[in-house]
Amino acid sequence: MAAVQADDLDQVVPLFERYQGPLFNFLYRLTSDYETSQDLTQTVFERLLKYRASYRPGQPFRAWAYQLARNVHTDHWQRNQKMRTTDVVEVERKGALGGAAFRHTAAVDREQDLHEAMALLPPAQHEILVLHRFQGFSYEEIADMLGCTAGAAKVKAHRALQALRTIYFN
Amino acid sequence: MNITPSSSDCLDVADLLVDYAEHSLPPEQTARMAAHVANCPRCQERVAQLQELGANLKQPSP
Ligand SMILES: [Zn+2]
Repeated sequence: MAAVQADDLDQVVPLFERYQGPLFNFLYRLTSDYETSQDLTQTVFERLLKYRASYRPGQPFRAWAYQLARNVHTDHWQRNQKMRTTDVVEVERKGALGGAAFRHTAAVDREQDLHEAMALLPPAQHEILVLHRFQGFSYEEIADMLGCTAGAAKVKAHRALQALRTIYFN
Repeated sequence: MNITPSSSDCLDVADLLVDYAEHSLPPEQTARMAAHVANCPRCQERVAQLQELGANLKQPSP
Protein backbone atom coordinates (compact mmCIF):
# COMPACT_ATOMS: atom_id res chain seq x y z
CA MET A 1 0.00 0.00 0.00
CA ALA A 2 1.20 3.47 -0.81
CA ALA A 3 2.49 5.38 2.20
CA VAL A 4 0.12 8.00 3.51
CA GLN A 5 1.51 11.44 3.98
CA ALA A 6 1.07 12.01 7.66
CA ASP A 7 -0.90 15.22 7.47
CA ASP A 8 -2.64 14.69 4.15
CA LEU A 9 -6.38 14.61 4.80
CA ASP A 10 -7.05 13.74 1.16
CA GLN A 11 -5.35 10.42 1.78
CA VAL A 12 -6.44 9.66 5.32
CA VAL A 13 -10.16 10.03 4.68
CA PRO A 14 -10.42 7.59 1.73
CA LEU A 15 -8.26 5.09 3.63
CA PHE A 16 -10.53 5.33 6.62
CA GLU A 17 -13.55 4.82 4.39
CA ARG A 18 -12.00 1.65 3.06
CA TYR A 19 -11.46 0.24 6.56
CA GLN A 20 -14.62 1.62 8.14
CA GLY A 21 -16.57 -1.64 7.61
CA PRO A 22 -13.88 -3.97 8.97
CA LEU A 23 -13.23 -1.61 11.91
CA PHE A 24 -16.93 -1.53 12.72
CA ASN A 25 -17.05 -5.35 12.58
CA PHE A 26 -14.02 -5.53 14.84
CA LEU A 27 -15.63 -3.22 17.40
CA TYR A 28 -18.97 -4.98 17.07
CA ARG A 29 -17.26 -8.30 17.81
CA LEU A 30 -15.78 -6.76 20.93
CA THR A 31 -18.82 -4.90 22.22
CA SER A 32 -21.76 -6.91 20.79
CA ASP A 33 -23.62 -3.62 20.56
CA TYR A 34 -24.53 -2.00 17.26
CA GLU A 35 -24.86 1.60 18.40
CA THR A 36 -21.81 1.48 20.62
CA SER A 37 -19.82 0.09 17.71
CA GLN A 38 -20.98 2.93 15.48
CA ASP A 39 -20.01 5.47 18.13
CA LEU A 40 -16.63 3.87 18.67
CA THR A 41 -15.96 3.66 14.92
CA GLN A 42 -16.67 7.39 14.77
CA THR A 43 -14.25 7.94 17.65
CA VAL A 44 -11.59 5.98 15.76
CA PHE A 45 -12.10 8.32 12.81
CA GLU A 46 -11.81 11.39 15.03
CA ARG A 47 -8.60 10.08 16.59
CA LEU A 48 -7.27 9.19 13.18
CA LEU A 49 -7.63 12.81 12.18
CA LYS A 50 -6.33 14.09 15.47
CA TYR A 51 -3.29 11.85 15.62
CA ARG A 52 -2.54 11.60 11.93
CA ALA A 53 0.80 13.28 12.54
CA SER A 54 1.82 10.24 14.62
CA TYR A 55 1.36 7.96 11.65
CA ARG A 56 4.75 6.79 10.40
CA PRO A 57 4.90 6.59 6.60
CA GLY A 58 5.69 3.03 5.59
CA GLN A 59 3.77 1.61 8.55
CA PRO A 60 0.78 -0.38 7.29
CA PHE A 61 -2.27 1.84 7.55
CA ARG A 62 -4.47 -1.07 8.56
CA ALA A 63 -2.28 -1.92 11.56
CA TRP A 64 -2.27 1.71 12.63
CA ALA A 65 -6.05 2.06 12.32
CA TYR A 66 -6.59 -1.13 14.32
CA GLN A 67 -4.17 0.10 16.94
CA LEU A 68 -6.34 3.19 17.35
CA ALA A 69 -9.47 1.02 17.41
CA ARG A 70 -7.98 -1.15 20.14
CA ASN A 71 -7.20 1.93 22.22
CA VAL A 72 -10.71 3.29 21.67
CA HIS A 73 -12.17 -0.03 22.77
CA THR A 74 -9.91 -0.20 25.83
CA ASP A 75 -11.02 3.29 26.87
CA HIS A 76 -14.66 2.34 26.37
CA TRP A 77 -14.17 -0.88 28.31
CA GLN A 78 -12.53 0.93 31.23
CA ARG A 79 -15.34 3.50 31.35
CA ASN A 80 -17.83 0.65 31.43
CA GLN A 81 -15.95 -1.17 34.15
CA LYS A 82 -16.18 1.87 36.37
CA MET A 83 -19.92 2.10 35.87
CA ARG A 84 -20.53 -1.60 36.29
CA THR A 85 -20.49 -3.18 39.69
CA THR A 86 -20.53 -6.74 38.45
CA ASP A 87 -17.29 -8.54 37.83
CA VAL A 88 -16.68 -11.85 36.12
CA VAL A 89 -17.14 -13.82 39.32
CA GLU A 90 -20.46 -12.17 39.98
CA VAL A 91 -21.61 -12.68 36.42
CA GLU A 92 -20.81 -16.36 36.70
CA ARG A 93 -22.48 -16.70 40.05
CA LYS A 94 -25.68 -15.19 38.71
CA GLY A 95 -25.53 -17.54 35.76
CA ALA A 96 -25.49 -14.61 33.35
CA LEU A 97 -23.65 -16.82 30.91
CA GLY A 98 -27.15 -17.85 29.91
CA GLY A 99 -26.59 -21.46 30.80
CA ALA A 100 -24.06 -21.75 28.00
CA ALA A 101 -23.12 -25.27 29.00
CA PHE A 102 -26.69 -26.51 28.89
CA ARG A 103 -27.95 -25.46 25.50
CA HIS A 104 -25.59 -26.31 22.72
CA THR A 105 -28.36 -27.36 20.39
CA ALA A 106 -29.28 -24.55 18.03
CA ALA A 107 -26.65 -22.73 16.01
CA VAL A 108 -28.07 -19.38 17.08
CA ASP A 109 -27.69 -20.30 20.73
CA ARG A 110 -24.16 -21.47 20.09
CA GLU A 111 -23.25 -18.20 18.41
CA GLN A 112 -24.79 -16.30 21.31
CA ASP A 113 -23.05 -18.44 23.91
CA LEU A 114 -19.76 -17.89 22.17
CA HIS A 115 -20.29 -14.14 22.21
CA GLU A 116 -21.10 -14.25 25.90
CA ALA A 117 -18.10 -16.43 26.68
CA MET A 118 -15.79 -14.14 24.68
CA ALA A 119 -17.13 -11.10 26.50
CA LEU A 120 -15.98 -12.67 29.76
CA LEU A 121 -12.37 -12.82 28.59
CA PRO A 122 -9.99 -10.06 29.64
CA PRO A 123 -10.05 -7.41 26.85
CA ALA A 124 -6.53 -8.21 25.63
CA GLN A 125 -7.44 -11.86 25.10
CA HIS A 126 -10.78 -10.93 23.56
CA GLU A 127 -9.04 -8.60 21.11
CA ILE A 128 -6.40 -11.04 20.01
CA LEU A 129 -9.01 -13.72 19.27
CA VAL A 130 -11.17 -11.31 17.28
CA LEU A 131 -8.15 -10.01 15.35
CA HIS A 132 -6.86 -13.46 14.53
CA ARG A 133 -10.04 -15.52 14.13
CA PHE A 134 -12.54 -13.03 12.76
CA GLN A 135 -10.46 -10.28 11.14
CA GLY A 136 -7.90 -12.58 9.62
CA PHE A 137 -4.79 -10.90 11.00
CA SER A 138 -1.63 -13.01 10.89
CA TYR A 139 0.51 -13.48 13.99
CA GLU A 140 3.12 -11.24 12.34
CA GLU A 141 0.58 -8.41 11.93
CA ILE A 142 -0.67 -8.85 15.49
CA ALA A 143 2.91 -8.84 16.72
CA ASP A 144 3.41 -5.46 15.03
CA MET A 145 0.40 -4.06 16.85
CA LEU A 146 1.33 -5.47 20.23
CA GLY A 147 5.01 -4.71 19.91
CA CYS A 148 6.10 -8.31 20.45
CA THR A 149 7.43 -11.16 18.34
CA ALA A 150 5.20 -13.29 16.12
CA GLY A 151 5.99 -16.25 18.36
CA ALA A 152 4.82 -14.36 21.43
CA ALA A 153 1.67 -13.25 19.59
CA LYS A 154 0.93 -16.86 18.75
CA VAL A 155 1.39 -17.97 22.36
CA LYS A 156 -0.94 -15.16 23.50
CA ALA A 157 -3.55 -16.17 20.91
CA HIS A 158 -3.34 -19.82 21.97
CA ARG A 159 -3.67 -18.97 25.64
CA ALA A 160 -6.66 -16.78 24.82
CA LEU A 161 -8.28 -19.72 23.03
CA GLN A 162 -7.54 -21.99 25.98
CA ALA A 163 -9.07 -19.42 28.32
CA LEU A 164 -12.14 -19.22 26.08
CA ARG A 165 -12.38 -23.02 26.08
CA THR A 166 -12.42 -23.03 29.87
CA ILE A 167 -15.16 -20.38 30.04
CA TYR A 168 -17.24 -21.86 27.24
CA PHE A 169 -17.23 -25.48 28.37
CA ASN A 170 -17.26 -25.09 32.12
CA MET B 1 -1.33 -51.43 30.40
CA ASN B 2 -1.65 -47.69 29.92
CA ILE B 3 -1.05 -45.33 32.78
CA THR B 4 -2.91 -42.01 32.74
CA PRO B 5 -0.30 -39.25 32.53
CA SER B 6 0.08 -36.86 35.45
CA SER B 7 -1.14 -33.29 35.17
CA SER B 8 2.46 -32.06 34.99
CA ASP B 9 2.72 -33.96 31.69
CA CYS B 10 -0.42 -32.11 30.56
CA LEU B 11 1.24 -28.84 31.50
CA ASP B 12 4.25 -29.75 29.37
CA VAL B 13 2.07 -30.18 26.29
CA ALA B 14 -0.42 -27.38 27.07
CA ASP B 15 1.14 -24.81 24.76
CA LEU B 16 1.08 -27.23 21.83
CA LEU B 17 -2.50 -28.32 22.33
CA VAL B 18 -4.06 -25.67 20.07
CA ASP B 19 -1.66 -26.41 17.21
CA TYR B 20 -2.23 -30.12 17.70
CA ALA B 21 -6.00 -29.69 17.65
CA GLU B 22 -5.69 -27.70 14.43
CA HIS B 23 -3.25 -30.14 12.82
CA SER B 24 -0.56 -27.52 12.37
CA LEU B 25 2.37 -29.19 14.14
CA PRO B 26 5.36 -30.72 12.36
CA PRO B 27 5.32 -34.56 12.29
CA GLU B 28 7.74 -35.07 15.16
CA GLN B 29 5.74 -32.91 17.58
CA THR B 30 2.48 -34.38 16.30
CA ALA B 31 3.76 -37.83 17.20
CA ARG B 32 4.78 -36.68 20.67
CA MET B 33 1.39 -35.06 21.24
CA ALA B 34 -0.49 -38.07 19.89
CA ALA B 35 1.38 -40.32 22.31
CA HIS B 36 0.33 -38.16 25.25
CA VAL B 37 -3.24 -37.54 24.14
CA ALA B 38 -3.85 -41.22 23.43
CA ASN B 39 -3.33 -41.98 27.11
CA CYS B 40 -4.80 -38.82 28.58
CA PRO B 41 -8.58 -38.48 28.77
CA ARG B 42 -8.25 -34.89 30.02
CA CYS B 43 -6.25 -33.78 27.00
CA GLN B 44 -8.52 -35.78 24.68
CA GLU B 45 -11.42 -33.73 25.96
CA ARG B 46 -9.44 -30.49 25.63
CA VAL B 47 -8.54 -31.29 22.02
CA ALA B 48 -12.17 -32.08 21.19
CA GLN B 49 -13.29 -28.83 22.81
CA LEU B 50 -10.64 -26.78 21.02
CA GLN B 51 -11.70 -28.30 17.70
CA GLU B 52 -15.34 -27.50 18.36
CA LEU B 53 -14.40 -23.98 19.39
CA GLY B 54 -12.19 -23.53 16.32
CA ALA B 55 -15.06 -24.59 14.06
CA ASN B 56 -17.51 -22.24 15.79
CA LEU B 57 -15.09 -19.34 15.55
CA LYS B 58 -14.96 -19.75 11.79
CA GLN B 59 -18.68 -19.09 11.39
CA PRO B 60 -19.56 -15.81 9.69
CA SER B 61 -20.85 -12.97 11.79
CA PRO B 62 -24.65 -12.69 12.19
ZN1 LIG C 1 -2.92 -34.58 29.31
